[in-house]
Amino acid sequence: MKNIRPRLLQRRKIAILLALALLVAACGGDEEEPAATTAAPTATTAAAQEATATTAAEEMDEEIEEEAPTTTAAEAMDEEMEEEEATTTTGAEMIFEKPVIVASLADTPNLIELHTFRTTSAYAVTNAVYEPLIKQVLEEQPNGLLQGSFVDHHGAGAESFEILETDAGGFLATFNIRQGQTFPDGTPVTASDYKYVFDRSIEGPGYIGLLLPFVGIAGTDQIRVIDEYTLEVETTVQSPLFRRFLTFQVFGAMNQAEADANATEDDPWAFAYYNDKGGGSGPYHVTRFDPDNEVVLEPNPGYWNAGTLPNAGVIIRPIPDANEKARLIAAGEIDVATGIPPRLLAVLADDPNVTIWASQTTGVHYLAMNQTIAPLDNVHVRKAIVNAVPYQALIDNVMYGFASPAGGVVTSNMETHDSSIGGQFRQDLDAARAHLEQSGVEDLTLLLGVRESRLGDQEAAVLIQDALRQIGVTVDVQILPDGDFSGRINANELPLFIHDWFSWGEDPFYQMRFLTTCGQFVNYARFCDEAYDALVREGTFTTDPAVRQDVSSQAQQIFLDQAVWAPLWSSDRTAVTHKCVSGVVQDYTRIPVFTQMSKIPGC
Amino acid sequence: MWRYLGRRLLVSVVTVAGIVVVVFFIMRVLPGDAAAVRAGPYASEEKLEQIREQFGFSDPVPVQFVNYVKDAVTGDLGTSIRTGGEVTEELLIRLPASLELAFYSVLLAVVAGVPVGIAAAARRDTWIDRAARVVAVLGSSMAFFWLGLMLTFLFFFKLGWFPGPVGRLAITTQPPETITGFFTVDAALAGNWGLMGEAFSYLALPAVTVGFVLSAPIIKIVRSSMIEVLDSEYVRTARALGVRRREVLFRDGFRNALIPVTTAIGIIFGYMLGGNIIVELIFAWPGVGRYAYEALRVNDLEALQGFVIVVGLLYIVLNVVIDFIYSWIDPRIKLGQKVVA
Repeated sequence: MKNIRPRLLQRRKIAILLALALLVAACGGDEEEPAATTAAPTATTAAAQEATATTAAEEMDEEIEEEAPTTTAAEAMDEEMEEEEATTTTGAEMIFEKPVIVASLADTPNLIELHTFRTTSAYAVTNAVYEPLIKQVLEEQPNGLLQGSFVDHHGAGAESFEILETDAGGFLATFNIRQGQTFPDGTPVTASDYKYVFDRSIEGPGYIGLLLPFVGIAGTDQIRVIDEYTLEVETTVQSPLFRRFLTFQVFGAMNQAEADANATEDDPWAFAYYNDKGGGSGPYHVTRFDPDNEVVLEPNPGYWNAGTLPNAGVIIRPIPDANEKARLIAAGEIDVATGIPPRLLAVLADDPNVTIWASQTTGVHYLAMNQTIAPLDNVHVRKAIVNAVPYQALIDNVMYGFASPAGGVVTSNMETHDSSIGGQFRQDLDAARAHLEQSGVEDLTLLLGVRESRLGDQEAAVLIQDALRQIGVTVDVQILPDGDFSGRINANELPLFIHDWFSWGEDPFYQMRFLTTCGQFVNYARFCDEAYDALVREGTFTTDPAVRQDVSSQAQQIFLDQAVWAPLWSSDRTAVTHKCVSGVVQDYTRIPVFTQMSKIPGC
Repeated sequence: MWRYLGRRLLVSVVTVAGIVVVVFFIMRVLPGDAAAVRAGPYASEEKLEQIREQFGFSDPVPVQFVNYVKDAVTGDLGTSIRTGGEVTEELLIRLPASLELAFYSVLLAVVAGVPVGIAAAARRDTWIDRAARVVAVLGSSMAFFWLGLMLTFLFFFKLGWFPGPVGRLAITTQPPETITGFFTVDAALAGNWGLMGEAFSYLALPAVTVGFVLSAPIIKIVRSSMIEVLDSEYVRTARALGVRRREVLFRDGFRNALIPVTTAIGIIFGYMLGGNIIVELIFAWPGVGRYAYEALRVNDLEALQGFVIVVGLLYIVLNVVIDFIYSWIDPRIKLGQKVVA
């Protein structure tokens, strides 16, 4: 920790003097001259840099060999690595400082157990700690944002990989695990550590096992260790999601030896042990985890690409008040912040000291109508509501432009979105009144529940309340504590509510499957249509783009005809950084990534 | 004295038992499902059941209560469903932050409030009295969050005199080795004056925010108590006998006014023991108030129960301490003896 505890204090002497004077006055004791504050020196040493650079260089010397279609991506990555190697080697000959990144994220990290559901900032921590087999190739956008490619992936924990189609209609993927990479305690990373994380997902008590059937993995026998550094994964279906899944942190290597040593009879996968500890081989390791207060991530010296990390670590400090967070970033006290509400983003947009990184996503905010509650089982009532919602006003006045129209469960920025269908989600009060009349329902009063933690949802609820009032529907808005809200939507007690969703991997059929097919737990609208389900099933396990587009369009049409929800907006992924910060990444998960983040020298 | 302590201990045990019973059953009637929050969006009904079983929520309420009491008497206040950590440990980690803020806030309130109250009483109906009353009204009507935001805006963002609201120390500063848990004290004990100064600079704005608001009731109580004493016959007699005004004010007046003032300070300090949630949120202060707030949002029952019980215990201890202070201030008060009129 010593090497990432530096600076910041010089300009606070006045504050310290004042505070001390205050105390001395208060205590009435002897005055003492406050000593100058000392800060630990910054900087990693040149020797340390050289060591990590050499390790990385040795690793990068090995050629990445892949079968088509991933060869192109691998070659591109190889070239990138060679360039980075040259830069790092030159850098190793001089003393230079890498900055420590100070982040304040959307919420408070609660626990960092890899396979337990947790807060967004806790996912950011685990994202930094666990290294998956492969990663998305990053493509720099005109605004400097590093956008993860939907097509190209490069080896990460695996040095190279090949994915072949099997006669049984699945995939057979072979991964050559990088040699020389270690966990922070020096234990080498082997194929067994990767098999362990898959086995833990499938058989452990976490939630990840629920996702694996989407890519045709149901049993631990489908994950095979061929030798110490070769892992084989066989799937029963050919899902377009397979590669994307492999980039997720939840399949990053776990130190099996450590996990086994801390397993108990009641907890054979050591879930409790990892609540506050990282067990991965990724770029960072957790050296302090104090939920609600501070998380410190330091570089993992055994990380395969340690030499190219552009920062000397990350400190995550939750700042609960968004106004204060905005001030802190403008003042340069924190480097990157997420979770700043759009209203404040609009204000910060004029501040020359900050940069707002906004990019469109495939997430969806929606007004759900529980179809098990009358009169929302009447499609005309639902259509009346869908037509009354002021979609553009919500984007303008609640999201301040940091969103795009959702246009359905397959959102407007998502692969296979059909704009001819999605474009029909627009406010049309005449159509709304006509549908309400057709429904035969009069004097309609509905309860609309929103979460206490979501200010934007509360603002949206007021606009929706006003729009529905115009067609004669009375809406009673209730702001509920998050725990109460979850309990009530699970128990089908809220007729209307605002919810949101983002699918890791950004696959349309995955999104439709979870949110809108029969019997899914998170299908909170309780919509059920067998024809729709059949289309979603077909699309989920098809790799042919034309077929996927066709079945997706048909499903979107059913979604529109049945007025399943009012898809309110697709919010942008936003991050605010101080003007001197670069290297903001957006990948499949929308989880903050620190591995490219740095500060512009001399800024 | 010992009899008094024994009796207080007995009463305290009954009080704590009452707190545990009330808190436990109130928590059980709160709406919401912590298991659903913990399980996340991918939860199935089976998964929810599994979580409820893991945290003991699937047992009948009386069984849960018996288990809770059994664990609580050993100091185990359960496991937080939000963090997966031990509630006792998590509260103990955060408690010093709240206590340090409470201590300095009350100290500031007393140091500012008592002299102002005395001056107002001594110079009744003069401009000093009127100014004191204005300050008291301002303090009473000032919302913590507004004052906190204004102070950070002015002194951090505009003037840069005080550090930003990022917690107890600068983000990159290593905390002192824990001895008391008060960073100011621990840094001083370690001889690290720079760190002590830094800790004070981070304490200053939250302490002033709370201290200003808390000084208002102190000003009012000191003023009214002093006026009552100064109007009493024995003070008038003393003045008639030519005792100097200053002596009358401090030896006869203030000392006799101290009992209600101490009571008020005790109540205020007790109020602060639970952490001031708003101030802790604004200043990112890692105390028990923020912990309770996060727990409340997701129905983290064990954490909330633990918080209320710990605060209740502290309150009981504080009351005992205040009783001792009474007997020190007024020798006529003998602890454990009946008052003879």
